[in-house]
Amino acid sequence: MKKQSYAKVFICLSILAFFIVGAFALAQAQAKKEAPAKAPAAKKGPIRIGVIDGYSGLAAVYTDDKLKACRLYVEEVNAKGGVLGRKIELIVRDDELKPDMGVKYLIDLYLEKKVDFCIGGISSAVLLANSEWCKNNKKMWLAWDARTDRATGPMGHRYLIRTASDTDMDGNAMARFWAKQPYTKYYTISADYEYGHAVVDAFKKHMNRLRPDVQFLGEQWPKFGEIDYTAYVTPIMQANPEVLYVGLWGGDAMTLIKQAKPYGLFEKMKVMCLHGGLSLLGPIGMVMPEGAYVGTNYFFNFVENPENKAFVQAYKDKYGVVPGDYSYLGYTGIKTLLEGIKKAKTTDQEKVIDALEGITIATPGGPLTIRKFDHQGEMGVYVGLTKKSPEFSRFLILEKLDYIPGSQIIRSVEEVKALREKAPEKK
Amino acid sequence: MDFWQFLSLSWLPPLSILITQLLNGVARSMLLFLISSGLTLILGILGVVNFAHGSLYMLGAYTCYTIMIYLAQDAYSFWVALILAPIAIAIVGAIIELFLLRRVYEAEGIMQLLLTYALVLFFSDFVRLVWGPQYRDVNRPEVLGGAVFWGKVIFPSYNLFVLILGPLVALFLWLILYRTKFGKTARAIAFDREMASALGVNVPFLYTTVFMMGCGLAGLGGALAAPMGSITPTMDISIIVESFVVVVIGGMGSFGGALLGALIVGVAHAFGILILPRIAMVSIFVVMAVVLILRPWGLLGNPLGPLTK
Repeated sequence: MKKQSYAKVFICLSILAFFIVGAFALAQAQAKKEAPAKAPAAKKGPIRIGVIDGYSGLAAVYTDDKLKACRLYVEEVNAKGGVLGRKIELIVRDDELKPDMGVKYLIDLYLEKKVDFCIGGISSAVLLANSEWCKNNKKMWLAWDARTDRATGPMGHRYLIRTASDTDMDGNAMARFWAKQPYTKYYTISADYEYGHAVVDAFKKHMNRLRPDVQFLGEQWPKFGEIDYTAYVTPIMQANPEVLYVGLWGGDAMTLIKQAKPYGLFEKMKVMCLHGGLSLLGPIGMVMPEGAYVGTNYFFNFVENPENKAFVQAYKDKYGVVPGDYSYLGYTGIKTLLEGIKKAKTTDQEKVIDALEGITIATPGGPLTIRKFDHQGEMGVYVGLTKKSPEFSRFLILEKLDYIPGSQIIRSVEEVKALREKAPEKK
Repeated sequence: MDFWQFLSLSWLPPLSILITQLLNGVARSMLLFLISSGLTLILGILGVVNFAHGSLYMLGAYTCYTIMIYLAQDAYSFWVALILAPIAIAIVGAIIELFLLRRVYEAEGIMQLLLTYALVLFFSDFVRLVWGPQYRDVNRPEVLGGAVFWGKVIFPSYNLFVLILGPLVALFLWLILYRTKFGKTARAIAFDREMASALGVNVPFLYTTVFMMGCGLAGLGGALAAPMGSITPTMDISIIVESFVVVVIGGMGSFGGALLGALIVGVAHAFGILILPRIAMVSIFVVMAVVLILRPWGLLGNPLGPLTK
């Protein structure tokens, strides 16, 4: 009896092994077929752009939005004949939010598949790894979303370009808004990992600079993906701050808001969610309380320009929903790259990087400039207040309270220079 | 702060806060208990470390979501989902037991670990395929939407409901295991499977039933958790770690242990947040480490093996 079952297991395992080996062989054959067919034709064929982003795992809901908008823009450009008379082709890879996977695909795309450019990213850890590889191999990486301020700050270099605002800019923008308000008692809650700490530290740093009279009564650091925030709400209620600064995003922010609501938290204090664009307001729906303060890079009805009007309409026509903050990031990232190629009149990376330095691009969120010194995009930040709208019955929309342009919140060139001087990573 | 100030306890937050925090901790404990009791049941009787338990909990939450959406989030839809979701997950459990797990009982323990871990990966992709990567969200039932006020103590009604349901389920499980013939035979199997089989106990049938019960508990936990926060494709991982901590503290295969372990973890977490927020996350692991050093078989576990008392 026992022998027989071992034999069965053995047979099963061999069949499994056979399939795995077969699959690998097939994949390899496929890869071989792909590579030689396209590499020689690279000069005349389409401009090929590798998109590496975290499509599996927690961030998929955001990265999908970015890719949708990116595809939309590429379709528009291709319909008009492409860039430099060449069509644009996207090759999409999933970095699974793992730094080693990001670098693996960079190597694969740049060295094996011979793509012309690489773009993407949501995880800061992946960004730092990719950036390091690109620095050493003199290949360009355009970061359209990942926000750690270390990337373009102390660890910045020629081959990294970022269109999205960084953690320091986000914190600075929030501090600028709240410094104008009469409140002095603050409390913070954010997830206990690199990014969560970075956003709180940036906010505190700038708040203490702008308003030395402000007090931080306490802080909470729930783990990433916490399921029960009720135990965190009690100490916040007890400390009784005037403003609660929430650095959580996505499902974490949703869970906190939902669980804090029965306690009357939103009536007792002002709540500021750092990430409150449509990516939060959409999924949370009508549970979102009115009168909450949120920060975002983009909201579909905040900007009145032809670019935005066309973007919202085209996005709605193609996907049936209005574009969110992440759609905006994806659209802006790919547009920046293509405008750079247009300006350089070549796909030569060194020339495109030169062209991108100091370039200003019309985006749905208004003009965006890439600063020459550190290649950091001067993307602005909005502060909005949630409210009901007769037009949308399934989620709240935002009332625009303030807009802080990127040029006001970006770190000064001197500051970045000083950071780079003392950076231990410098080689 | 000098010694006498410390003794006067004036550094403690006010009593109303302490009570609220205790209630918060206990409510969390009850949810943890529901999930880890299923884990400990399967571990105690089948001797299988079911890594996929968190995935079944997640599946329970998504099933609850689907049922509630299907019933258009009516007033009664949550209650229907709360009954149907555990049953659905129990059926999933039966399928797993009959077609997969049954084939590896004879093999080494590592095979069972591999199998249940493979199921974790499978369900994680399955959920993304069926429900997508988006965060899902269901409303709490109208009756439990608000909060209960008792002096200065505020407590969400939904958490109160979870807090009451937990002990009821515990009592129910205890009655089944210790006051029915089914429970007696189940415990006999845990003690000596071959002897029980020789005495005419239908072991395969009992295994399937027990596994279904455990999975049903995971499904119940998932359905209960759904309206508390958001439903995400990664909620399986966050819960399974805590459930294992509970089982290790309480003792493998011990029911009372799961209850006690869950209470310790929930309350330690709640007071950790209140007193030392920066290291709150570590507090439960500190408790686990201490228990492992002093009583490696868990607080209410048995050094001779699970469920032998």
